[in-house]
Amino acid sequence: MRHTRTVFLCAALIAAPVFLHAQGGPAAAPGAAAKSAEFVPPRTADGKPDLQGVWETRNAAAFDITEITEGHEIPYRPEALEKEQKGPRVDPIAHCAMPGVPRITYMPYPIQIMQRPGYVIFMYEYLHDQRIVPTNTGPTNPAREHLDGVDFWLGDSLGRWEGDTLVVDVTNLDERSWLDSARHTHSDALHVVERYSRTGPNTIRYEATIEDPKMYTRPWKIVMPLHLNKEAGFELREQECTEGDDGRPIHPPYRPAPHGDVFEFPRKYPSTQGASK
Amino acid sequence: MKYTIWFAFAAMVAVAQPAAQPAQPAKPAAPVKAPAPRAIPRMADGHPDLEGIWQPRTSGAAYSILPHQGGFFLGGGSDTGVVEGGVLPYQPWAMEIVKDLTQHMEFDPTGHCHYEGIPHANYFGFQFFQTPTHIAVLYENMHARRIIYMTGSHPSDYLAWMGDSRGRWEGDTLVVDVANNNDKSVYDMAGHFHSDAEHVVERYNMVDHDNINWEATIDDPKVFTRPWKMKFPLRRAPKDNEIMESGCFEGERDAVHLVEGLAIIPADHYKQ
Amino acid sequence: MSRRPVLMAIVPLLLASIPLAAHHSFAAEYDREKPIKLSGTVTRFDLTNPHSWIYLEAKGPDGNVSTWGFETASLLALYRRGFKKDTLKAGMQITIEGFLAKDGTHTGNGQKLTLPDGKEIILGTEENPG
Repeated sequence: MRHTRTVFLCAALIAAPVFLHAQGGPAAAPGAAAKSAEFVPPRTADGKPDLQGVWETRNAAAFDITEITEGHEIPYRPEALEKEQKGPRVDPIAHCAMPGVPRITYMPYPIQIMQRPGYVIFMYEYLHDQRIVPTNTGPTNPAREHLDGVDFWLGDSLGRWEGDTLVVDVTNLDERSWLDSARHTHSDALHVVERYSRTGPNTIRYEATIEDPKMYTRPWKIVMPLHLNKEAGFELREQECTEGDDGRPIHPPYRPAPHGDVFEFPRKYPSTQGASK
Repeated sequence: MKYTIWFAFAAMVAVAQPAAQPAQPAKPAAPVKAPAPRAIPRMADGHPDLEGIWQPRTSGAAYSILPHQGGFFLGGGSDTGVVEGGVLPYQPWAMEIVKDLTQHMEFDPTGHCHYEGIPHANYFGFQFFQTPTHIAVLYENMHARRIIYMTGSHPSDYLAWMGDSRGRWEGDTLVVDVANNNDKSVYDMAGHFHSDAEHVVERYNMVDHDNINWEATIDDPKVFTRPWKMKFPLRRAPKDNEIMESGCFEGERDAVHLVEGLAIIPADHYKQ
Repeated sequence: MSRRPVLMAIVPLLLASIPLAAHHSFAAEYDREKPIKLSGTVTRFDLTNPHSWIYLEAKGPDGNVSTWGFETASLLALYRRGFKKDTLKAGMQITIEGFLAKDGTHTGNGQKLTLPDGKEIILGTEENPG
C-alpha cells in the first residue's frame, strides 16, 4: 500500500509540471506543483483556476503601503526620496483621480472578479474602476504588447497564467498616482508585476513586485490576502467621486443612499423628486 | 504608425459624412452589409453569446435623441433621431424645463464628467462579458460600468446614475429592467431630462453574429404623458479593438469657461 | 494548447468612427464666429481626458505675447490618431488654428495643428471633426 502511494505521488509530481504546461503556461517548478496540491482551486469551464467572486481587503495598506511591504521599508534612492518630500502634497484621489496600481487593489472597497476565456475582468467598486486583463499575453503567447507613448492611471495590464497563478504585468502607469495616502510616490518608470493565486476557499494571495529604477534601488514586494465576501446577495454599488466647483471631492453616500439628493449639483430648475403627477 | 494615421483620417472622414439613417421599421432591420450573415454564437446554456465589443449606430443621439440638424460641434445631424415616432411626450411643466436646459448647457452633467446613465451610456462603444448569472457591460466613456444581474431583484434603498439592472432571457432576446435611476442623468445635450421615477426596459435582440437590434421602452410618469421607445442598431466592432481607460476628471477645466447654451431642438417634437 | 504567436501592435482604429464622448456642447464654450490662428512655442502638452490641452507662448491678436491654451480631443482620440505623450515637446514651434472661447480668456478649441516639419494634424474633437 505504502509503495503504491509513493509511486503514485512520484508520478503525480512528475506529471504535474507536464499537466500545468499543457494548460498554456510555462512548466511549473516542482515546488509550485506541491504548493498547489495544498489547496486545489475550483476551475472555470476552460480549466483555469477560478478567481471569481467579490473580494475584500482587510488591512490598512491604503493608508501606508509599508504595512504589507516585505521588510516594511521601501528602498528609496536618496535623491528620489528628497524629490518626493519636496513634491506635491495633495493626494490625487482627493481630486477624484484613479488610485493607480497596486493601490486600487487595497482600497477599502469590494472588488468583483469575473473570468472569461482569454480575460480576467476586475471590477472595483471604488470609483467604478475596472481593468480588462487579457490572459493570453506573455513571452510564450504574445498576442498583444504594451502600448507605446501613453499613460493611464490604472496602466496597461497584460495577463498570463503561470501554473495556477495569474500574473499581470502592468506598465504605462501615470506618474501622478500615489501608492497610498502617506505620499509614497513613483515615477513614470514604474513597472508592477502582480500575482494572484487562490490559496484557500476564501482567500486569494495577492503579491506585487514593484520596480522603478528612478525611485528605488531595487525591486520590492508587497503581499496580502484578499478575502471572499460571502454575504448572501451582496452586490457592488455605484461609487462615484466628483470634484465640486470648489475643488472638493464629493463622494455620495451609497450604502444605502438616502432617497433624495445624493449630492449637490448646481441646478436652476426644481428637483423632480416629489413633483406631482 | 503611418497606416494607423491613414486609417484614423479615413475614419474621421467617415464621421464627417451625415449619418443616413432610414426610418425605423416596426420589425428589426435586416443586416445591411455582410454578404452572408454569420450565425448567432451561443453559450453552453443555449442563449446567445453577446460577448464582444459593440458599436452603436445612433445618428447623433448624444446631441439630441430627436431629429436635429448637424452643425458646428454637433456632428452630422439626424433626420429621424432615435425616438420611435420622433416625438418625446413631455408633460407641459416638464417642457418648460427642457427649454430652459437648452439655454444652460453648463448644467449638462456629462460636461461635469458624471455618468451618462441608461440609455445614454449605450450611445457609445462598450464590451459585454457574460456568464449565466452576470452580464458585465464595460463602457469606455467615463470608464462606466454596470452589471446586469440575472438573479435577484432591484434594491429598495438606493438610487444611482446608472440605475440597477436585472436581466432575463425571452427566447434569443436579452430583456433588461433598469430601475433605481436618479434624476440627474440625461438623455442627451438637448435638455431632455427625466425624474427618479424613470424605468427603462431594454431589449437586446441578436439577429446574427455581428448585429444586435437594441430598443428600450422608457416610462417616467412624473415627466412624460406616456411611455415611449428608443431604438438603434449595435454593430460588432472590428477585431483588435479594445476598450481603453477613459477617465474624466483630470482635464476638466472646461466648466469654468461654459458661458451659454445652445438650442438644438426648436422643432415641434414634443407633442403629447 | 499551443498557439502560433501572432504579434499585433494595438490598432488605434478602435471605436474611432463613433463619437467617443459627447462630454458637453462646445458651442457653450467656443465661438464659431471667432476663428483664431496662432504660431508660437509649446510650453506644455497634456495628453489627458476628457480633453487634451496644448499650451503655447504666442503673440495674440492684440500683439502681445502670452500663454494660450487650446483644448483638443481626448487622450484616447489623439492616441488613436498617432499622438504620443511626447509628440509635442516644450520648445517646439507650432501653429494652431481653432476657435476662441466665449469668455474672453486666452483659450481656444484647437482644430488643426501644424508641426515644425510642416505636417498638419486634425485636432478637432469628434463633435467637430473639422
